[in-house]
Amino acid sequence: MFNLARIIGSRNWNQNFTVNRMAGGYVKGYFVPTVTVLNLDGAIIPHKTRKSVKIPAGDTIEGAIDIYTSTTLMTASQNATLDGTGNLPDEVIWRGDTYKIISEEDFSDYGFNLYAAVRKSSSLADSIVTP
Amino acid sequence: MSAYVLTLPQLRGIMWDVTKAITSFPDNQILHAFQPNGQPGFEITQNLIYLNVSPQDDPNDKQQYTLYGPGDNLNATGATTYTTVFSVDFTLYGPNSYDNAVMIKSRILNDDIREIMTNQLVFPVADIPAPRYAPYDFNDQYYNRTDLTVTIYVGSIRTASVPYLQSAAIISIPDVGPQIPFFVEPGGTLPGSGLDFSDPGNSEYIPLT
Repeated sequence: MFNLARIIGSRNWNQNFTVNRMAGGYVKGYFVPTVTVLNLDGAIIPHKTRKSVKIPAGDTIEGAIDIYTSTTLMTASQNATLDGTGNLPDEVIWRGDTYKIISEEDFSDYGFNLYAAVRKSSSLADSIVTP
Repeated sequence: MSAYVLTLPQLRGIMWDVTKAITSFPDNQILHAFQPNGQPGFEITQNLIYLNVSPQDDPNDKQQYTLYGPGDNLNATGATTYTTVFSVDFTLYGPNSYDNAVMIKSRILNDDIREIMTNQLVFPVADIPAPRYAPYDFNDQYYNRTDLTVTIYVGSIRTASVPYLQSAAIISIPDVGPQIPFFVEPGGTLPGSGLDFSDPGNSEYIPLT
């Protein structure tokens, strides 16, 4: 099988980005994560147009990116309700904006994974709900 | 009496305590719905309860009652009490979702559970509709799901200062005899009244009847 990890890791494509990993547990019905900051690398390209959406509350920006990386990012886990611990999807900080991982395509047999992430208005670290 | 108004997160917390007391579920299986950043999912075999509390219109949320009491030298206090009405939506998943819904429907009216609420001016309405069994299609599997809605009345008290009257203009109007209209020419006088009719604007004088 061919392996594309070296292409993904090539300096022609590769760039660094910051990831907020958010594992945690439930406190009185609220999921309260602890943010761990990771520095990872991969290739990032736009997934769709970054555009302004006009709503009564103001003009909001929406957008999405694709991330090709040889490391593993986290989507939402499903076991927090089983054993009390779990995680929210990773947040990717790229060019000053925060994106939340919403999909994963596992090409790890060929040396990389492909993720899609949508823009959030702010990082979770600014808006953690506590009981 | 000081103000007492429960916020929506406080109400959610009270209903979480109630659900916990009824079901004795672990903390990670009684969850609040619509968390701003989402929350981890679950699997088809798990018995879980999701809570949502939202305001509801009701004929009993229209009345207000204000009780006045002494304040300081310049103000009285007014304590306005009123009722707000909320629907508590329990969304139950898992193999035992229906049985858990029936348990909540029954137990929430028992004294030991009601006490958790009434101590905080929250009162469940006894007329609880039957749970609705509504399996949910996800990943080509039907997840057992049961919906239960309980209406609660929530008491609130808001206080405000009510200023005392500091002064009032007192006008004495003489008794001018028979209660009939009559007319005084400009510059004329009305004996015994002390009123000055030299101003043309005051030329017409009609006693109050």
